[in-house]
Amino acid sequence: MIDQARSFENPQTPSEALPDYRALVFEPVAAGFRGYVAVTTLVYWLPPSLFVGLGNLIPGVTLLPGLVGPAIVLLIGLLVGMYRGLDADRRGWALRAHDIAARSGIVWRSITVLPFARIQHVETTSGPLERRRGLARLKLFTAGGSSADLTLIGLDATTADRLREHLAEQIRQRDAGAAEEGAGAAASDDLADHSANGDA
Amino acid sequence: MSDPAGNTIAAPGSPDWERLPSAAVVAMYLRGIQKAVRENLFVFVGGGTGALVSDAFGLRELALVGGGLLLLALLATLIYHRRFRFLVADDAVRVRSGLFEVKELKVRFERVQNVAFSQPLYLKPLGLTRVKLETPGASQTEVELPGIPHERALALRDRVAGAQHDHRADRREAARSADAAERGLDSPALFAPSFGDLFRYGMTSSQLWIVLGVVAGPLAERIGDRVEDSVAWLERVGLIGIGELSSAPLLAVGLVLAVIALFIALGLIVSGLIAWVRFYGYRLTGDPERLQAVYGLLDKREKSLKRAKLHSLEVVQTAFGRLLGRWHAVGHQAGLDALNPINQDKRFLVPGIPNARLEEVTSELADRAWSPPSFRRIDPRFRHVLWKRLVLLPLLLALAGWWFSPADSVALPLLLVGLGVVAAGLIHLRWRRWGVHVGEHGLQLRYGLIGTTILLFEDARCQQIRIQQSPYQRRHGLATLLIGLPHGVKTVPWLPESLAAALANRLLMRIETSRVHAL
Repeated sequence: MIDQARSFENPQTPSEALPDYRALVFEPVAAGFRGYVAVTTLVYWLPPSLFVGLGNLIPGVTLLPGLVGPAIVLLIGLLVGMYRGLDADRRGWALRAHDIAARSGIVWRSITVLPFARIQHVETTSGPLERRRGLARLKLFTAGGSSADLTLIGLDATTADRLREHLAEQIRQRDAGAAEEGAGAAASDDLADHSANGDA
Repeated sequence: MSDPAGNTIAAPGSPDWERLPSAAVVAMYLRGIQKAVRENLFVFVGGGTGALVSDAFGLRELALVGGGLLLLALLATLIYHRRFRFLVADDAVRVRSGLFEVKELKVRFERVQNVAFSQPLYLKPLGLTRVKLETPGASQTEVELPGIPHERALALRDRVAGAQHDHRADRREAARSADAAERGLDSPALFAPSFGDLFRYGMTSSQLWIVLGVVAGPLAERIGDRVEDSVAWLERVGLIGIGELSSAPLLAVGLVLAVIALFIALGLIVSGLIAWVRFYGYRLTGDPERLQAVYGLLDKREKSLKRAKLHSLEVVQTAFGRLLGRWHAVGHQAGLDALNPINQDKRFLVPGIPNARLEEVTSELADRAWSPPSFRRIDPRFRHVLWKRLVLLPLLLALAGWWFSPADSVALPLLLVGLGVVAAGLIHLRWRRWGVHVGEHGLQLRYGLIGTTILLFEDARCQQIRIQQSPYQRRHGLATLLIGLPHGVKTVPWLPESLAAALANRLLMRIETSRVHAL
């Protein structure tokens, strides 16, 4: 026991020595994501623009003023598209040994880090447009919430699948470790019981 | 037949599957009616729909519709009761239920974090108790046994506690815990608020004001009618005349204020009494393993919460509570979305804590010595930016609008300046309240406006970390830290970037090296 105590070391870890999330190098989203952003922006903003353009059918409205409305809607759509395009350039994800991080935002920038220890399940999803461009999104769920706690969008479908498998494996290993720990504790407790009863 | 874990599974219909007692039909029926009324009351009262419906239909039609609905509900309850089966195994409870579609659910005792008993007045003569088993990961209660004999409920609770210990192979603790569960009500109370404590807690509760907000419309109409009747009566008796009221505006204002004050006072008294009835005889007991609360006059409840499942603790003093020197504490557990009103009733609540006993009760709940720490305030630029963007800019725009408008009254700019001063004061209070304390094992956050909330949690209990920066924050080396806890995201805004990063790194290290699982 005394030998054990002598060999036991517990050096202090200075806070500067902790792994720093700021040192992360983020992987960019898939190349096809910008095209996907352009198409979805158009799909979203074209119908309202056409709807406003129907104003030209109102008697008494001349063509030029009648085009102003759709032009404004299209301009807003264009600005939104530009913003989303720039956002796509900044988006990224990074995988460490014990957690996964996502970066997003141009004006309000954020980095979210989700430790594997807290992930309950992982899923990949993709809509028709995403599938056409070989994209997928990875959703990570923690305990309690009904919606995903972290969603990585704009991933290459193969990367998303690989990540899902990797994370699922991490969860499996974690759960197996926890089960072994429980069994180990049970065995040591049995020994303790036997010792207490003089059986050992 | 056995499951992969080797546990015996009884086939549905075998003698091991239990039915609810026949008397439970009454409990289920009344509970259903109570739930339907509670969920739809606001629609009828708040929207004024009730008045419209009662105008459109006669009493007979209403009685016919109501009676029909009640009969349908009775039929549904009878079918539901007939199909309901439950089985208490060594390590799990299984429930088969459903009206049209029968679903079967198995919940392992190991996952249960809260066993709640409830015995409303109508269940008492039947000797039945409603039992709820709450698990993490479910937004609503997973298992509810609507009415089983009280002794059976106690046995189930003990079996849950015992199985949880068996899982950890700690049999000596299991025996000790079963004893503690037996003793339960006899062990000395950690906290037992008096009538005055509960009454004052009721007065400080914000629920009254939410209810008042909803019913204020229809109620104001009624009160208006009553005031008119009263003035007419006063005039008839000769005590006061309408002419006198119109020539004395101060008297009229005084009368209106008196009516409002009376209304508020009545509301406070009713709220205090409701809290007293709800938490009647509140006793908080506990041991190193779990906390237990027993309370209720009309609906006797017992809540049991494993300390290991307690993710964070919130001590709250509302604005009214500050006046009356009362706090309440809320124990949060995984899976309960704190903002969801459905879950309000499931929180582990300790009401009516006097200022003088706050440290003692919080220490008992947190299971370690606690006293309010010195909090580090967030950056003062939080206040400056909000003053500029939310007060100064809108005020200048409004004043410019007034300057260029043809109106020459000075009342409007004075009112705007007054509102601006109030808003600036509120921003200052908000900034002053916000604080963070970095403890050895966990963080404590303080926030509020006029009231105060202090949140205590261990680093290892967090779920995820987010660091956010606006352009202004980036320029000034600041960052906002968002900490994902099992019951919601908590924000610590406007910290020095280096501190936010250090806290984020520490939290991540603690989560990733912790042996405490999220569940």
